[in-house]
Amino acid sequence: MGYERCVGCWMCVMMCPFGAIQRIPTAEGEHHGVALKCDSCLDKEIVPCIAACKPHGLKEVNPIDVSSLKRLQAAQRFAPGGDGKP
Amino acid sequence: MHYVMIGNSYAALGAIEAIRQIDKTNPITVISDEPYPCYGRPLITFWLGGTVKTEHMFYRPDDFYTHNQVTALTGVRVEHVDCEARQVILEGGRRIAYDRLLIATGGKPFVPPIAGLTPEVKNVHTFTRWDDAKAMAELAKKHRKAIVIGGGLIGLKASEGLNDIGIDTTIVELGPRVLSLALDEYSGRVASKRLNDNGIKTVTGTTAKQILVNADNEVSGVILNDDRQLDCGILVMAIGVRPNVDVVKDTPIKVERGIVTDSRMRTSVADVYAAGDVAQNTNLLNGRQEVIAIVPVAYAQGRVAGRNMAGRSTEYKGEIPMNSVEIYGLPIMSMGYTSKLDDSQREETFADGDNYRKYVFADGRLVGALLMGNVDYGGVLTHFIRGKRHLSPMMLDWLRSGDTLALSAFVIAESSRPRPAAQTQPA
Repeated sequence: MGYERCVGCWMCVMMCPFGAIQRIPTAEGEHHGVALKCDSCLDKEIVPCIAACKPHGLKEVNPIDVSSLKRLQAAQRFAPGGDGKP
Repeated sequence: MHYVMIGNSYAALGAIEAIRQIDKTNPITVISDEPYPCYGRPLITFWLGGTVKTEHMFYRPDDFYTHNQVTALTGVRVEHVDCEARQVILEGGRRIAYDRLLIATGGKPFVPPIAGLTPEVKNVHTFTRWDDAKAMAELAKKHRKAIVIGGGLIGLKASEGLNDIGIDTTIVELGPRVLSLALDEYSGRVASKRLNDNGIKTVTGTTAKQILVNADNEVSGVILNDDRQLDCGILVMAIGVRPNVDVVKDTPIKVERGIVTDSRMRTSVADVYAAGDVAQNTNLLNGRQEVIAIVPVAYAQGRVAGRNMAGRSTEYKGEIPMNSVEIYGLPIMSMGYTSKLDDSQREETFADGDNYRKYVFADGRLVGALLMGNVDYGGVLTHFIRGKRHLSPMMLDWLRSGDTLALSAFVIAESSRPRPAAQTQPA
């Protein structure tokens, strides 16, 4: 989920038969970005919420890739020039 | 085997991705008259308003075309399709031979004749392409006032983009309210108030009968049916969009509302497919052949077309009409019928400030819904409407009380029951 890409059109919400996508409220009470708790319609050739996503904020990813990306991002924060302050 | 796509938006992308899952080698050529790689068309509003940056307009990686061995001819107009010669004719006369062709040319804005409105009048635009948004951004440097003719989705989105960059914007809508196809009196009032509170003016129940120009032939205002005059430096025509069937004119490819397609997204001519806003297919609500011009349908139809083009027989089952939009923090979602067709149908509405729900029932089934405010369970309703499922008293209670958790849990429980093994498709 690329939160920075979500423009809040809620097409994914409209397409999810399970109500598994919820809008995330911000501190100001507006909604921004979506939360997912799903098994990504494993039996479907076309995953409805991903097909519905206009800016490609939602995409199918491999858990191993995501995990290494997250670790890389965490490491970069503490690298020289990163904004991490341990 | 040469695959050719006319159009380079969601439907064509879906087809390319489906083909490349099956056929890794045969060449694909995609032709678009827009000079860009695929971009998020609905995002042009946000780009104009400044909330989506240029790099986030592109929804596939930079190497998408090279990685998938696709030749992208961008900024090139297709003049015509020659079905007999199996060729696509480009502007300038160049011909490209195809073995399988996908027509995914999308929609084309419809501009009705209005007194004083000639193609020579400057600063008048439609709003469906990135270049339209770019033209607006340029005009906004010199002009402070805009009029948007048409209060449908495109009109609203154009207004939002213009308003967000400080343009004094007025929507003129012939119907009694904005989004008049979907909204009723209550929800229309809430939507208008939300627009007005955020600086967009709305004038309803009238339209422009004459366009005014200055000495330089630039638009300077409009005269409404009730003889009121409104000034503007920018005029946006957002009356509606029709399937862009220009390239199939004078071909045997059958066109009704849009290009006629069957359950495999094939047109009436062999090896020619169509998908997206240009294609008509089954409206599951009424069984008729209609155009449902939304992103998810375009992408899904493109995927199905692509699989069939690559030789895997795959069916598209149709879809119900629906849409989803947010205006200034107010989500609006509609699926199926948004008001009752006749007295055999029954409406129930629940209003609580800016939160509004409307259900349309027929024969103990949900056939339509309109949600405003809390839309989080909209997909469950889509599922019920599409499946024409009979609603038990318990399910009706959940719908009425808005017990979204119970509804979601019900669908999840139902879908996790063991099912017969999936039938394999003949290759």
